[in-house]
Amino acid sequence: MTKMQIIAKTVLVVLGIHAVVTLYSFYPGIYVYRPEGPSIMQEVISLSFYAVLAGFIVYFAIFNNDGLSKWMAGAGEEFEPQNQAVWLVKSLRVGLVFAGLMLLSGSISTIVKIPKIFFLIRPAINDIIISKSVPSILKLSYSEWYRNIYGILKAILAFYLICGAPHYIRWQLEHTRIGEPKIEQAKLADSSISNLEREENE
Amino acid sequence: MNKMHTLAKIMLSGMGIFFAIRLISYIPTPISLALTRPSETPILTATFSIVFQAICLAVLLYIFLYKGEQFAEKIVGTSEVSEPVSQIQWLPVAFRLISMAAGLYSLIILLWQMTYTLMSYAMLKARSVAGYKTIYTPPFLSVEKVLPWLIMLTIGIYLVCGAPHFVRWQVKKTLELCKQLPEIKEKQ
Repeated sequence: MTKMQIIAKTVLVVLGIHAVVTLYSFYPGIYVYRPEGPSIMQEVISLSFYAVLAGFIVYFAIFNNDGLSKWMAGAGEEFEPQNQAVWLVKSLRVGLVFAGLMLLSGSISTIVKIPKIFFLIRPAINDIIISKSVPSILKLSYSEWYRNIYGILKAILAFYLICGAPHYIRWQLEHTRIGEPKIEQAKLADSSISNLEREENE
Repeated sequence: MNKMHTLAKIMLSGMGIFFAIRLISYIPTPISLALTRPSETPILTATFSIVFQAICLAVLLYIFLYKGEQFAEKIVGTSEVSEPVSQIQWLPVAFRLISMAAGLYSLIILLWQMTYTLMSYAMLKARSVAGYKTIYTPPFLSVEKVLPWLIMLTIGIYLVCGAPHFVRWQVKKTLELCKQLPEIKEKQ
């Protein structure tokens, strides 16, 4: 891999994360004001559409982005495989921390709400045991449930990314074919030499 | 000016332009909100919001575009620094730059939220029906609103200042991960 390909890979990962997070912020659930939520059919269609789109982004931009990054950056000067790995780690980490920090600024209101849950647990349990009714904190509309779950997941993702997403980086290192283009180049060089020899023989 | 300075200057100019555009895009909101109910309070609040946003915009442009070179030198170090031979040297600079970008983003979100809350309150206050006002006007500054603002302000300022502790921690952890590379390769 060249430096430019590594940078392209990082950009793809950051944009992929941003795209998925933004995509789910526009999920129709947020805009449904009926307390019971959308109809089952509506839900199934929108959920499958969003899942396919998000899966496509996650697969091609976040996990298997080698081909796309090579296509984006094109060919270039390569360097030692060990340095490639070091570059990949640093570049990915910088990109992921950036994505995490950007997500964090949108998640602060959710993070502030989390400690509030601990103060509401006791009255909620009282409601269940004494009055045998659904506690008021759980009486939320569909869009409120969706927004809360989305906010919590976004905050968790932000924290994981700020910590540098070590598992993801290790996974990328294991699955990125570092140094392979060199072999390809060597093969190309071999084939060009053999072609030359063939031409000479002819 | 070496490569790192140029890189930092380009990044800072880019950040300045990006956030200036974002800030400009917020300006029409208070105007349109004030025009929907033209009375004293919304117009005054809109004027205050626009003036405040204009000041922020001017400061942003001054720091990131006009004084970008000096700012880049502050981030990277002195201009006599030789070209970075080791790959480690660009890492703190990169972390510092992304911290600043994220800090600015956080401050701009904060500014937007404050403007929006102020405008909403001004709109509610301008309503003529007294009964409606007493029943539906939410408390202007509740803890739930102010606490995220304070946290965002603190984080934003810390990140814009370069977040030295965070950058040091990140560099340390990244280098630790790089040291584990042979083990990961063995697994492969």
